[in-house]
Amino acid sequence: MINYLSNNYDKLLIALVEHFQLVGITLLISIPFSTGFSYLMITSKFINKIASSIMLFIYCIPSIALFTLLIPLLGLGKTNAIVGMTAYNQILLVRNIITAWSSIPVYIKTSAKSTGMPNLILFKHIYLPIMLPHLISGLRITTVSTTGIATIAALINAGGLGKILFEGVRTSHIPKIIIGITLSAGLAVLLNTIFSIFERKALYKATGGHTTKL
Amino acid sequence: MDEILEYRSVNFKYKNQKKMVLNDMNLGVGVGEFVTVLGDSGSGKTTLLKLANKLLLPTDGTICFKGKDINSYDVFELRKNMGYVIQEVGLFPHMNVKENISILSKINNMSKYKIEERVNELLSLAQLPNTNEFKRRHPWQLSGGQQQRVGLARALFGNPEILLMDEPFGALDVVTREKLQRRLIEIQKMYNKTILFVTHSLQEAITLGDKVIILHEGIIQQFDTPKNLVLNPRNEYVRTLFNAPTPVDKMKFFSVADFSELIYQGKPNPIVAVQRSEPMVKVLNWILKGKKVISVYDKENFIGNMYVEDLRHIGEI
Repeated sequence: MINYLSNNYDKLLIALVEHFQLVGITLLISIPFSTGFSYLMITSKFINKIASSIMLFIYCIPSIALFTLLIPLLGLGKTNAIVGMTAYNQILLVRNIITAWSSIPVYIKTSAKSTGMPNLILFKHIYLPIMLPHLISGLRITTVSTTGIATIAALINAGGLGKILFEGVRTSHIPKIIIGITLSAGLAVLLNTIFSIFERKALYKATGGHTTKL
Repeated sequence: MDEILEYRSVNFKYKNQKKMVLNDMNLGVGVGEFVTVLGDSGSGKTTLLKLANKLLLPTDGTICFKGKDINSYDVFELRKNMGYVIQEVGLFPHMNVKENISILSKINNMSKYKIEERVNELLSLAQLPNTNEFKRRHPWQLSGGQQQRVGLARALFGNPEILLMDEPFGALDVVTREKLQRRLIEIQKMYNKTILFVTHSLQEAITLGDKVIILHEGIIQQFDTPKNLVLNPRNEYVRTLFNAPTPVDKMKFFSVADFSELIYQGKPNPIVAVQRSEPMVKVLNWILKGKKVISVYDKENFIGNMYVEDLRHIGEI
C-alpha cells in the first residue's frame, strides 16, 4: 500500500483535487438556486408544498439512477454529475434556509420592520447574522453528503476519488479501495470540521456570546 | 389641538377571514397627548397600532399622519417618526446595547461621534448606566426592565414624534413597571411626545393616559378622559368595566415618598389601601374630582379618611 502511495502520489493528488472541485462547483451552483427556491417557498405556501415534494422525490432517487437518467440529456462526465448533485442538494439546503428564517422570532422581525429600513439592510444587519449558524450547518451537511455522492459520480466519468475506488473494485486491488475510501471519507471529515468551526463562531455571534457550547 | 394621527372610517380584516378586526374606526390623537388603548385580547388594539406605521394595511379608510395620508409618506420616513415598542422588546440578540439603540444609523451615515453622543443621551434618558461596559452588553446580559429601557431608547433614537407602545410593560414585575411608567411620563412631558399606548390593564390605562380608548370587539366604546369615563360612561360596557368589583380587590394605592411623614406620624411607610368593599368607581370619583380623599387602612384597622397630596398607583398586587 505504501508502495502504491509513493508510486501514484501525483495521480491521487489529481483525483483529490478533482473531487474537491466537483464538490465545490456543485455547492457554488446549489447555493443561489436553493436561495431562490427558499425565497419563493417562504413567500408562498403553495409553492412550498409543491417544491418540497419534488425535491424530496429527487432526493429519494438513488444517485446512480439519477446520473443514468441524466445521460441522455447531458451525456457522461462532470456536467452530468454536477447537475445531478445540485438537484440532490436542494432539499437539504432549502430545508435549512427555511429553518434558519423561521428561527428568527416573530417579534424580532416585527421590531426590525418597525425601523422602516429597506429589506436589504435589515437582511444584512439583522436577519443574516441570526440565520448564519443554521445556514452554515445546512451547508456543512450538504457538503458532507455531496462529498459522498461525488464518489459515485466516478461511474459516469466525472473523475475524482471514486475513480480510484472503482478501479480498485474492478481489479480487486485492495490498496486502491482502501485509499479511495480513506481519502474520500477524510475529505468529508475535514470539510465537516472546517464548517463546524465557522458554525460555532457564527452561533457565538448570533447569540451575542450567550452560547459557547454546541 | 392639532391632530397628529387620525383614523378616518378605518376598517380592517385579515384576508380570507370574515370577522372584522376593526370596525369603522374614527379617531384623532392630538399632539403631545398620552392616549392609552384598553381592550382585552382580540379587541383589535394591537392592530390599531400596527395600522399607524403600516405594519398592517387597512381594508378601507385612511389614516393620516400630520394631516397627510400615511401612504403619501416614504415608509422609512413614516416609521422613523413613529418609535415602536413591544412587550417582547425585540432587541437584536447579536447586537450589543449600543448597536441596538443606534440601529437606525445603519441607514443615515451618522458619524461615529454623533452616534456615541446620541446613545449616551438616550441611555441617561432611559436611566441606564452610561458606561462602556454596559454599552457592550448583549440583550441576554440585561434584566427585563433594562431590556425594555433599551427598547425605549432605541425607539427614541430617530427622535420620533409619536411613540407606539404595545403592552411594553406587560411582562415586567410591579416595581419595575411602576418605575418605567413614571419615567415614560417624564419623558413624554419633557419632549412633548405623542404616545399611543396599548394595555390590557385598566389601572395602567387610567393612570397613564390623558385619554383612554376603550376598545371592544373592534369597536371604540368610548374615547375620553379617565374622569369622563368614570363619571359619564357612554354605554353598559364601559360602565361595567369601572363598576366591576374585581379590580378594586386587586388594587392598592401606595403613598409617595413624603406621604407617610405628612399624615402618618410615627408609622413609617404604611400601606395605604382603599377599602376593599368600595367599588372602584367611587374611589376614582374621589380622586378624579380632585378631592383626593381616601380611606386609609393599616392592615385591617380603619385609620380614617384623609387628604393626599400626590397619589400614584403602582399596580395591582
